[in-house]
Amino acid sequence: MNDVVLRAEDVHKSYDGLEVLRGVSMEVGRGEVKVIIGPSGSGKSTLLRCLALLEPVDSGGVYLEADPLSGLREKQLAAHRSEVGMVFQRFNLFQNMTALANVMCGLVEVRRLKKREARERALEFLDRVGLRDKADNYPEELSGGQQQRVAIARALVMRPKAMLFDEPTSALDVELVREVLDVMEGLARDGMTMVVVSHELRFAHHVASSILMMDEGKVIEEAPPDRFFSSPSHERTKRFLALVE
Amino acid sequence: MLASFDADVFWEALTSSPYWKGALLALELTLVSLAAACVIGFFLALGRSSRFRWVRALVFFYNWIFRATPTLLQLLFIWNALPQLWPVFAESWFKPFLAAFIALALNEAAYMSEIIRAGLLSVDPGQELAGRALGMTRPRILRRIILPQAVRIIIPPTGNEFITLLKLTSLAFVISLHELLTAAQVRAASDFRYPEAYSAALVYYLAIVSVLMVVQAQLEKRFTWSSVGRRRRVAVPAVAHDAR
Amino acid sequence: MKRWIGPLSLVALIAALAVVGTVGAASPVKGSFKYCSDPTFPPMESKTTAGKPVGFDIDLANAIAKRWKVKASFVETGFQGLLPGLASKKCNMVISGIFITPDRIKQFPAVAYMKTHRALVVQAGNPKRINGPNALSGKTVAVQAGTKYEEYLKGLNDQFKSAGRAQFTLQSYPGDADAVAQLLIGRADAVLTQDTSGAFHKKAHPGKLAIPYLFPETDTFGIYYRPSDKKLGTALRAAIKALKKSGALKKIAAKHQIPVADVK
Repeated sequence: MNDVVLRAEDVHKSYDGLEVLRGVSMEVGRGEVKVIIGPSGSGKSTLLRCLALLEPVDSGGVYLEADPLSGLREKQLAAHRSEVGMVFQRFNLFQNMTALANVMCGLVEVRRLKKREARERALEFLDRVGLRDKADNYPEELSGGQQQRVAIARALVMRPKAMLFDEPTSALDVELVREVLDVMEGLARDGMTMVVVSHELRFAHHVASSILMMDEGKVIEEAPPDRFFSSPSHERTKRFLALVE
Repeated sequence: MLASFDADVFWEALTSSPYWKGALLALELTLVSLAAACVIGFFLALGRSSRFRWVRALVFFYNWIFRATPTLLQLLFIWNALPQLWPVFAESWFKPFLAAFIALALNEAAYMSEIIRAGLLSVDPGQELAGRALGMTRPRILRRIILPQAVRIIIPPTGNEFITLLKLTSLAFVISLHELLTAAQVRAASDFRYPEAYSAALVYYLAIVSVLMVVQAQLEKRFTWSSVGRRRRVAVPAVAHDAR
Repeated sequence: MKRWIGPLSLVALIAALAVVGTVGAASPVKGSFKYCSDPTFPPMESKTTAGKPVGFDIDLANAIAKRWKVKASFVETGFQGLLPGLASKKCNMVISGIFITPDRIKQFPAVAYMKTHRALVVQAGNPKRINGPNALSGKTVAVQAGTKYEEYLKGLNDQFKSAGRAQFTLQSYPGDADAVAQLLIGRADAVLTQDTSGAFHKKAHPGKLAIPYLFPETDTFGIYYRPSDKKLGTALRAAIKALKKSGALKKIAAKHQIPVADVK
């Protein structure tokens, strides 16, 4: 049995009186890739942000390798956040830094590495995503796909215990999606623990350990890809899949 | 009409000690007041989005009072009214420059706080989100990511405020600060050559503002993030593909 | 026809004499004249709380206007702008407790009307023991900006410096009353101004001020006019002479508690 890296237990969360997560429980073990799909408003992004410790939960627990993380103070939370990498739909690269500086940022500011060491490591990871030659370019000079790959490098360089992806290709032009998915598939092959919110069903089918369907703040179904796509059990899952495929 | 403009008198005024000393004083007062105003204004701007209600209220009242009252009134209040409330302000250590600095800095801070707030607001909220996701603490995010991007927006209106402040320094004449305008008036009072005396002062004001414009352009360039024209000076170390 | 020339000439002569007789002084201006003045120098000129200009100079202007059977119009101008205002034709003359000095005379002629002494004003009880200009060394002195007082004080400070004595801090303010205010606030140790102003402020703030020293030399207040206005100048001289002779100036001086000897 894989040891569990990230776990959410009966998580509830409301925004402005609207309950977005109504008791979500899920876990992801080491090396597993879990893909979450579902209609908009189902709480997928919120769940991801709670797992990334970017949002506090109203009730329930979030655990990183068995450490309870809900109810911790900001300073302690910050330290744990660096152990969970997050990639955003809109990349969120730091506009005032080059690609290299972006990737170095976490190492220098959080891990407190010396600049020289940080630069070497950062270049290595930029290389891994195939963008070493763009090290001195600023985000606004890069294409969407390139920016997202730099964002992945920026999160990866911290050697996180898990990587979370919030619709990483939804904001990309169609022809740029492939380069990002390739990087993600590479990560999965290398054994990274990943949770991905995405509409890219072929990618999910190809790479996921299991697929979760969320609707109205709850996980209504979870199954390995083959079973999920060929014979989904829940009615709403069937309807959603029909819409998307 | 131009025939009666005496270039020698003009030149003499322009190069005279009260003029360039006065110009230097005006510039000095502007710079220190603006610097203090930026610092105070920064904290006021942060205070506007504080989670404590009393902090937000405090900032609101500060901005309200200092923007509503004329600068001249504030100057006179600090110079003439304060000593009547607390006699310690009548003592000789409380010089006109100090009083003018306090009045101008506090006054300008109210305006700078709005400018800085606009700059902070202009930064995409995703930037802070990404910083937090990496594990950075809020002060660090502010310093390394948000502020540099906010500064880019803040520079042009701050240049305006510099010019406004420079002109406001001439008000300190009423609290006996001998700056550039005073020099012009004293000059004119002694030899009655008004066109020459006032033009010489004008030249100094123009000169200072021109220098500001150059400095502002340079600053704006520095905060434009573009790889054009920047070549890396350190050689990139070759790293093998499978190195970890 | 020849019969009428005699009586006609007589009528004309009488008419001419009558005209000359009624216009006691030929008015150099038509209908009214404007005078620039800075109402921050009581009792010469100041403003009531309602904002109306009052003072010796206002009464003087009105007396001159009465003689010429015209109206006098007060044009409020800051002290530094008085002579520029005259130059730019903002007004016909300047009546503002302003001295006649050699450098001013070079640009604009003036008609003298009153003598006065400079005075040092201090806080009541003279806590800093200021008994003369020499005692100003090391003190704080306030003065109205752009005046001859300020010039004199600057010169005095230079003298102290070359004599190796401590200089005084010289502060200059837009109005004479502003300088006196610094005494009352407690910031200034002394103010250099006219005896007229000193006497006025002493009366206005009973028990708070004192005049420990009067300069022996006198200055003369003058009415300034443009050099091109020769007729105005002649008329002014005649008017002042007449007002002095008739005792009118003495009456105005007494009204404002100015020593009558000053307007002799």
